[in-house]
Amino acid sequence: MELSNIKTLLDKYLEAETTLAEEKELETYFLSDHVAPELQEYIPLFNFFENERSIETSEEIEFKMPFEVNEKKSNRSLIYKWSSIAASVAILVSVFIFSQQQKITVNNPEPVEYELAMQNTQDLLLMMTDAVSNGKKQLNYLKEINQTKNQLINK
Amino acid sequence: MNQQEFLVFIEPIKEKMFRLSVRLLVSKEAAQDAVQEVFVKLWSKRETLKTYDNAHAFAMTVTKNHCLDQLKLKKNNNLRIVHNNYEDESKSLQKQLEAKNELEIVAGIIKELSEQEQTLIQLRDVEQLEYEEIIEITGMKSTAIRVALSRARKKIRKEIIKKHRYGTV
Repeated sequence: MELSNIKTLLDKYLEAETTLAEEKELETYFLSDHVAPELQEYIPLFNFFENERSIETSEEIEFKMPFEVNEKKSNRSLIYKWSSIAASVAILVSVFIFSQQQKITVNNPEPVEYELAMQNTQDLLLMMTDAVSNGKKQLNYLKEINQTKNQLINK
Repeated sequence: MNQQEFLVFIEPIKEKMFRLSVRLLVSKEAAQDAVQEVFVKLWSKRETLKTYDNAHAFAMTVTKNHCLDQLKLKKNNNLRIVHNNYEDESKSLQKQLEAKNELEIVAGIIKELSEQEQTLIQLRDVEQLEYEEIIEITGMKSTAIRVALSRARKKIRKEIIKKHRYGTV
């Protein structure tokens, strides 16, 4: 590009009347190695713009979205909500089933076999009398103690 | 707009937002924070984002305004603590002395421009946006943009020439 052309572009540039395309032309000119010596002072300016454009966020700013936290929170509260609903449903169901079972046992008592019951109680009573008589037999030994005691006293 | 759509939406502009924040706030850390906060703002408005003609321009506007707010806060703080002001100046002076690099000189010059001029330079010369987009982002009128931009460019040129001569003599 011709020098005079560049100069007119520069004047337009300073008046902020250049289009983007013209500004890009200027930039490529000043970033090239053949800049006219009288225009040297513009080199750092365009270098600077070019340099600034390449500034990027450092890696740390891989933005941790605050809303991620928010959504996690809402997720968590959703979980809480559903688990509490599930828990209350479970309690209700278990109470219901339990009371049903109790009703069943109350309503349908097992039919009693009276004879068997009689037999059983009689057996039990017999066992008791046996045990008592056994105990009584063992008490007989106490007499021995008395006899030996009396013997000692009489002597 | 769900999370996935939002991510897709911010992907192409997040670097632009970051660079604009760096231009205005200087510190990269502050810029990162700013961009994060702008994301939160945008996310909270995600339902209305769809209704904007140019949601990306809106995102840039939010970024710009947020950074300007941050600067105002900072200025207020600086006014309260006078000592900080003093330190800042000495730092910038030191930086000027150390700025052998021409790019740093340009960066220093641009930092001295007004916030509006910085924003315009960033959007036009660095991001190479069309004027229509800049109008949408800044809410300024076309002529006002051109006048301010022209003034900014001339200022930069003047300062560069000053430094240039000073450096060579």
